[in-house]
Amino acid sequence: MHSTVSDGTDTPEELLEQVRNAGIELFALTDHDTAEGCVRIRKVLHADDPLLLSGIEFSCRDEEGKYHILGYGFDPDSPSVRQIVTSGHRYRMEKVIARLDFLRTTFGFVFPEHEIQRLLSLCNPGKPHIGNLMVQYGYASSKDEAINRYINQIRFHDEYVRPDEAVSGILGGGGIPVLAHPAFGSGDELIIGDELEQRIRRLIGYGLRGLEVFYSGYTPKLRAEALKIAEKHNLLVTAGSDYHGKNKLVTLGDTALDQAQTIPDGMLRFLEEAGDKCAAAK
Amino acid sequence: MIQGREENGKLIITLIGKIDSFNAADTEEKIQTLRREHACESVELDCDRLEYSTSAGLRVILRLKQEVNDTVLTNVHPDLYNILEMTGFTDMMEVRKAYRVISVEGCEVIGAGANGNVYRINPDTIVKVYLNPDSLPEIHRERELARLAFVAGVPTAIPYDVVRIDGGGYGSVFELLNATSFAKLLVKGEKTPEEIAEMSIRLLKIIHSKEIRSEILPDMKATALNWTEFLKDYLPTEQFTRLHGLISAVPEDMHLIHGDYHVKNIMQQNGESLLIDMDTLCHGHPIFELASMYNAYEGFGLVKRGIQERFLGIPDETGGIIWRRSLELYLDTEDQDRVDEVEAKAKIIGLTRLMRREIRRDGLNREDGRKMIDTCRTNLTELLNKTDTLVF
Repeated sequence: MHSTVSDGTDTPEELLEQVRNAGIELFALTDHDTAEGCVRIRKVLHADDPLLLSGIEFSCRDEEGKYHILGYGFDPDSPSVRQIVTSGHRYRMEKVIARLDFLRTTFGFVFPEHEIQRLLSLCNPGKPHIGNLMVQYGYASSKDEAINRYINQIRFHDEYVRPDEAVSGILGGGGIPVLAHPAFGSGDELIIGDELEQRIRRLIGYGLRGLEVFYSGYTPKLRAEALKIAEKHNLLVTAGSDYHGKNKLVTLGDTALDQAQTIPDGMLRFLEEAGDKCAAAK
Repeated sequence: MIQGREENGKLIITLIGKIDSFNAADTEEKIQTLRREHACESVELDCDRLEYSTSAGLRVILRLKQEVNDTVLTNVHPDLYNILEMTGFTDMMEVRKAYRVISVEGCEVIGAGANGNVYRINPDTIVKVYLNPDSLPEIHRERELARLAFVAGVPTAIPYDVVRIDGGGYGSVFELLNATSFAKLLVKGEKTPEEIAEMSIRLLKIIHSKEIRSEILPDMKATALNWTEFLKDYLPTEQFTRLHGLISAVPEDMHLIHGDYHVKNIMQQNGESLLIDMDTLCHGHPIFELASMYNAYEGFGLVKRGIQERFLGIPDETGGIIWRRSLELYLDTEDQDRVDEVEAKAKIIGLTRLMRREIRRDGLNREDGRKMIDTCRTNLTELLNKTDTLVF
């Protein structure tokens, strides 16, 4: 799930309240490129609350494509995780500044200094945030138009967090690196069949340990394909709702795990490790 | 962008442009707003104007399907359809393809039936165009019937696509490599009427050997009883009662019947016979099949000669020869008394249908119509007096 720390609409504290009410026993907040929300939840967590597994979702890219790599159960303060978060944040800030520059010089779109500062103070600003600002100041009629017509006119091919960096960073922080929604790449792609297996093999080479087999956006066919690959390579199996808050049809805790006829062995192994990590984090 | 409207209790949402991760959340929000505005239990996502969708769009569709079980996708263009097929969406929900638009202007008409014309659009492809502009349910029903028969082992051409016809209406597309109708084989002199009768009865016996239980197959006996009921006011009471009794006494039968079996509906392809027109497929006793064959080869021409020639494209006499020879082959006899006896049974049902048809077509107000109706009535009276059962 995602909070306002990245692109969700509920604050980390609100999410905790919802998790409590939904009767969920184990959860992880996996904001994009930051574990700030986990730290906030941990501060207000009671002894009898559901188990919180620290989480993060790194947006990665290399010559072969884009990936979302989840980290579970790491120490948010560990230098290896902090280093990737810091570089990810730096790349992101550089892009925000470059985009604002591009909008100003190409289209003459200017924003008050306090808005720019607010944008740069966010953990995780990106195209949607700039789009919203453009709508607010009348430069576009919708966020969609702002992104597609203006912001996407400039493309970046420079620095990104690489999947091997993300995987080794998570491992270095004592966490479990997992490929998020394997068939959907970074969210818009569709990678199936041999291409998907090749990509997973490559990531296993970097140290990937699990696949998000149960995912709210998966059809039974996609789930079966992911499970088959996970079992073939003896990977851990995880479940994620990708809940983003209001205005999305996905509900909190909907991981499609209820559709499983049996709990795969890979998931039992993941839960065992996750339980140990939650206990250690308390 | 999306638009929504309500039609017959269904929320129809038109998806326009593209859906990707940047606008997926907005799209979901708009769908939710439309759902709040229209309390409908079924949703149709019209994809005709959807230029493309990334997997973010697929997630929107999936989540909507999970919320509203009765969600269908319509007018889905080929690229998106392939993706939906690969990702398993077509297994879990109804996905209807967008229809290609084709023109049949200037194409050779190779068949004409009650429901529409059949055109050859290129050497290997024919299109059956339906006269009724709202024929989609009819087309899909015929496809289902064809599939049912095909799976049961009846050689049948299966339409591989449904198209929109430029100028209005819809059509079913068949690929028929080197296929020639039995009617054309006769006209070209490639086969004799005896050979055609032999080929068609061989196929007919295959059809009649198949027993299928399916809700979409009509019961021919029930249909024939409806025809009979219609004649209640047009036949003397005694004859009506007798006719009704005879048809009611035909045993229930779950074997297949083609329902419109004649030389225009059977093709020869690479030496094999196959059916092309399946919209009349039903189940019942074979006497009902023989009745429709009698009408095709003899009944329609009872009063007006030349009708068969216009309808089947073969001389009236040829139709008569095929009919009698077909009966011999079907009954496996050359005993003409036996053939006459079964022909009389077939005629009773055939004439019942013809009489009703003519009355419904305002025949009582036309001279030729009255002549046809009188002929049917006279023949029926004569036949009913000497027939105790329609079973053979």
